[in-house]
Amino acid sequence: MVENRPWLNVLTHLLLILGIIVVIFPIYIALVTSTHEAEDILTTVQPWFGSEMLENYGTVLQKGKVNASGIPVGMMMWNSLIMALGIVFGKITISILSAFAIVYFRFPLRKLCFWTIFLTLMLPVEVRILPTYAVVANLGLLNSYAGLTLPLIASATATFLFRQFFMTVPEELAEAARVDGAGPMKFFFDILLPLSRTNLAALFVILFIYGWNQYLWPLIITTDESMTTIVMGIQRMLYVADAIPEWNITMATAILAMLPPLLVVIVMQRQFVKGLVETEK
Amino acid sequence: MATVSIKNAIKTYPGNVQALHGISIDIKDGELIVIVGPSGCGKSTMLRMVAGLETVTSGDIHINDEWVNKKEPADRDIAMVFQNYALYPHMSVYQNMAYGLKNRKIPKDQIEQRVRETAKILELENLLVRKPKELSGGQRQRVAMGRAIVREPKVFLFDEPLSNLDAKLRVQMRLEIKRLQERLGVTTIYVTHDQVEAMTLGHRLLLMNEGRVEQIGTPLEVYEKPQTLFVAEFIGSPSMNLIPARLDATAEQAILGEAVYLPLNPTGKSEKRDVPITLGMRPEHLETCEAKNAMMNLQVEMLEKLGADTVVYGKMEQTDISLTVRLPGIHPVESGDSLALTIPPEHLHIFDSESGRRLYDTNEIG
Repeated sequence: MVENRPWLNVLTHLLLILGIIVVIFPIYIALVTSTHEAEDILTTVQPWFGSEMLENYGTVLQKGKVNASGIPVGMMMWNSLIMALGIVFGKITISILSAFAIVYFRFPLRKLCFWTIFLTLMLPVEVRILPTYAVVANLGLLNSYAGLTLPLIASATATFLFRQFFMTVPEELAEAARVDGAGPMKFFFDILLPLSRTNLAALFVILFIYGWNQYLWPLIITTDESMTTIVMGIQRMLYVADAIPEWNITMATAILAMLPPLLVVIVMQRQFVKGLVETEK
Repeated sequence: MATVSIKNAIKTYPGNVQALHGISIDIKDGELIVIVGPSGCGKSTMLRMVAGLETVTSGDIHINDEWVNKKEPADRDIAMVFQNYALYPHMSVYQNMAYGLKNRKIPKDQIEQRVRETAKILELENLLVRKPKELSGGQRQRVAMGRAIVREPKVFLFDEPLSNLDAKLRVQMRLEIKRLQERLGVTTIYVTHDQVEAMTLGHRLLLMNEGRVEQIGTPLEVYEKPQTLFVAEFIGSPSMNLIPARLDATAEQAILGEAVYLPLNPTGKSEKRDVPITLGMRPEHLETCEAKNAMMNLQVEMLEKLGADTVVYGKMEQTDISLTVRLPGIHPVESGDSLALTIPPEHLHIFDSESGRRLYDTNEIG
């Protein structure tokens, strides 16, 4: 919509700026808080950066919070990274292959298979958490990366997304590949996978953030301190019995927790947007 | 190179939908056969069965005397050009052309040589590094053909390859395909719904309607002796005038409506007399004449002056019969005029109204 009304211009900009402020403000406070000494921020909110930045972040990364588990945040981030990447690659692999099977192969009960996958959309982790826990515990996967990632890998959303994309790929392309002597898997790797590039990127971003932000599942499945993920870690730092909450340390951890998803978004932004809007055929 | 023989090919889809009711044709080495018919007549299904993209319900397909019914498309040594080209969008022109060769484990230097040669034939040399989306429609078409040619197959299969091009380019590519096929001498099956394409390209035509063969013959045979009403109507533009009439007792005259008598010149052997017939007259075979020699008079209703010829639409006087006439050049006729017309008896086509089949041959070729 193109309209030439100056006051409308001003109004829209004001609204946008207001929105940005609302979003930025808490992050700014967290950032500022993470640069002060613990005593300075106990009673009041600091408006401007302090001088303890390097020290706080150094402590956090190397030692963590001593009276709350005392695991270095670096290690938590490592755990989170492995979990997030495990979920991303697992989900993408499983869902792209199942979508491939559903779209390109005729087999008995194909429709049923698709709808079963689709039905699992109604059962997010939180709903099936107890049975899933029992299964994972019986398999002896508690406190392991496999236990952290496997139950989150099955994904109806991604399967559905790939299915929709594959259905827009002209059928003749598969036929041309057949005439060219490419078998099903060759067609998949040589043609379908390169064509799905932007979709893969978009899913990578979405799923990485999804995996990184997992809170409930890691909380239940891990008891070993060394398996703590960063999102759990932040929570643990806040409620420490018989101690003053060290807000500077907690906020520094929070800021650190924000960085990898931010990085992923910035790096993959162009592909991400393309994947969501463009259908390149 | 190769012969293709199709014997009684039948295709039945699930739900008992029969798409093909037994198609048979023997295609000679180096021949260009055009399968032509309206959309939904099963012509693409037929082609895809030869390609191996559709299963054959019953019947036999032989390529070079080898039974190929159960063979994968890649093992049949055929190459196919699709209507929407089906170029791999993420590959360059070179990669598109080389992909089939690569899958056949042909050495790299040989692939390179063959792709470059083919590119030269099709004038694609400067486009080899481009992606399909950076090409124009005609160029894409040429790449699709290049992908077929580079494989040096026994048989080319074209599935309406020109339908996605604009009219001018279509004529140009049509000539190019004809020239190429003659030069390479590869047996070709070409599917189209466009009768002009069929007439100009094919050595022989296979006319199909509702899953059945209507007629197989050279373009001129099909034009001059259409064996069924369907063929008569399908081939030629504007299409043939088909008029309900009656054959008289001696089979020497056709009676149109009440008062119009047309002399016939039957040479065929049909025993039919005094039966309802459908009389076919091509618009271009009707001629103007002096009033006293007129076989019929046309009340002109509408005109299309194309310059090269004038197409006249109207009704036959004293009847309700619509008629289209194509007169050569610019004709000084106006709507509302009455036009005296005649037609040489050899240009009359007589069909049995019931079976829709040709009754008599009245034309004397040569």
